[in-house]
Amino acid sequence: MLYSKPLARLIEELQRLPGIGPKSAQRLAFHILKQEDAFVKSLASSLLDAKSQIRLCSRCANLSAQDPCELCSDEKRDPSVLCVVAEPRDVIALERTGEFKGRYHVLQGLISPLDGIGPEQLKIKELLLQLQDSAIKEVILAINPTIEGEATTLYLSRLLKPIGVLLTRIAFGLPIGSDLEFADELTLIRALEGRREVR
Amino acid sequence: MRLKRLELLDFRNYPRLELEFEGKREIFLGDNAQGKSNLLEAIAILARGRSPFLSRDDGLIRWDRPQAIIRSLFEKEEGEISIDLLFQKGGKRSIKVNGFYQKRVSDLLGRVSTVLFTCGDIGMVKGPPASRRAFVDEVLLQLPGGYSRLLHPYEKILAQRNQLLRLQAAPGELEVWDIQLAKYAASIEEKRLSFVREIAPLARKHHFLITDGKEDLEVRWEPSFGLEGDPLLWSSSFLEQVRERREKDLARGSTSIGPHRDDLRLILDGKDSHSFASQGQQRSIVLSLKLAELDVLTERIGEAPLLLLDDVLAELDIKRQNKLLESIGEEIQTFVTTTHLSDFTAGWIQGAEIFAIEQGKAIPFRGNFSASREG
Ligand SMILES: Nc1ncnc2c1ncn2[C@@H]1O[C@H](COP(=O)(O)OP(=O)(O)OP(=O)(O)O)[C@@H](O)[C@H]1O
Ligand SMILES: [Mg+2]
Ligand SMILES: [Zn+2]
Repeated sequence: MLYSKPLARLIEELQRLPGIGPKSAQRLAFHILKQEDAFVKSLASSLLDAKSQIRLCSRCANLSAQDPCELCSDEKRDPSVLCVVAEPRDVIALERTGEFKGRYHVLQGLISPLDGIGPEQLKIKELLLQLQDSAIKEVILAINPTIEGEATTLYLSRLLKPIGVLLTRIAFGLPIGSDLEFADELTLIRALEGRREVR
Repeated sequence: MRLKRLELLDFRNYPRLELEFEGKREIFLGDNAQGKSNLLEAIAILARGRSPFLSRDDGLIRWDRPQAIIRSLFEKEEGEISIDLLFQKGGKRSIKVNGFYQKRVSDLLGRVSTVLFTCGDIGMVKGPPASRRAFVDEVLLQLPGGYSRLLHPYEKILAQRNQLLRLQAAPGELEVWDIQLAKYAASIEEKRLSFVREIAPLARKHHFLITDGKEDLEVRWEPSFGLEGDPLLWSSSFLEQVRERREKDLARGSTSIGPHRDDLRLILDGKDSHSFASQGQQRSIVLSLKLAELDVLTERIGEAPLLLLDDVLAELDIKRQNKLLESIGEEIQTFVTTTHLSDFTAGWIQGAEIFAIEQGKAIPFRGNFSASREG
């Protein structure tokens, strides 16, 4: 046997993490063993604490230790706009801009039959529940324009149109610094679709 | 355009290779399994950013190595251009043009181009429609214009839709995939059709010359669904047709129409070559298509591409060999693999540089050419 048992087990567990191959797992394991006990204890307890305390917010399905989450219970957020995203990391990305002042809803995934994910597997029931709040005037679909993202956007727009709120989606188009001449057709089509009046 | 220098590091069976090319006729001579085709593949990759044979890059990396590198220097009318590619285990790749990193494969396309002609191509006449679609897609994937950004998403949407069909999904669930399928299908058809319209008269001309005016070759694109009127309406008309077929598709568990079901019809004197063309006729047809491809790429890129001939001379009879070698214009840099020099006319071999390929090494070859025939 190459490693003694506890070390082998640590490497094995680390290897299950996304993006961690055998080499990185080995590197991380050796690194951890070199650290002070205090650090390792705090790492272990932070894993357990996060796992036991973080839940899905019952309103927006974002990750939080609070229910409703910090964003849902923040009185200063604009209750009239709801932004629908696929993953918690999208909320973080949008929050980082500081531009959006409304509330969120996290789908926790995208429709993808090959991965066994249909509309029922997403937090769509919860979304419809949020939309019973008559304060909501606009729903922004902020979903990546991948094919699974487009399928989800299409599905939601068909589902939500009859509700009668203003339905918008974020614009996709040319990245900053790119050249019209070299943009491919679909990017240009998207950019044209997302055009707006010059003010 | 002309390839001046090629450098390989841990690419296929080449631990390390540096080659300089002085002229426009390059012959890779060697026994089987020495690495001749691998060299042509490396050159083909420079034009495509990916292998024309493999869908995953890992196979390009020398066994037990972490990465493969292809470096190159081309001479073009507008000046020199260097293209460097790095392939890492696990699918990561980097592309550098003139020393600058490029974000996407599409940023590489259109700088250099190649026409790759292998003995396997001859099978396309009698092969399944997929082999003829592959011929068309191969060319379009090399051209700027984002074809891969149409084709690859289309294939993904198709796989998702087929999965729903296998699961006997409700029509409402199919709708969001059908809408997307239609969008991509229409754009793909537009590109394929305009390419086939361009290549058809050129292939006819080459075939006429190759057969001394005896045979007429008609090249026609046959979509698997109705395409009428303005291309702007194709997407909505495809959507209608795919909706109509939902029942049928659910029953068969796969999508019955779309770009993945098209065919390139090769019609010889009014009859479909797929069912009757002789060996010799098949060779003439494919040769004509490849020469026409050369013309189209020259037109679209603005400069003659490199011609890569892998074991094809041995497949052609003397008459067709000569036709091929004759039709290669002086301006076209040609790379040929062969196991023996007798395939070449003495005239053609005169101006050629010959490299002996042996177990991942290339040695400039100065033997006597008495084996080659007069011509
Ligand atoms: N990733 C790789 N790492 C190491 N060797 C490889 C790799 N991929 C292919 N090879 C080896 O490269 C060798 C040469 O292949 P290639 O197809 O270039 O031969 P060739 O000279 O064209 O032969 P032939 O005349 O039979 O067509 C093969 O023996 C194959 O095993
Ligand atoms: Mg070979
Ligand atoms: Zn919340």
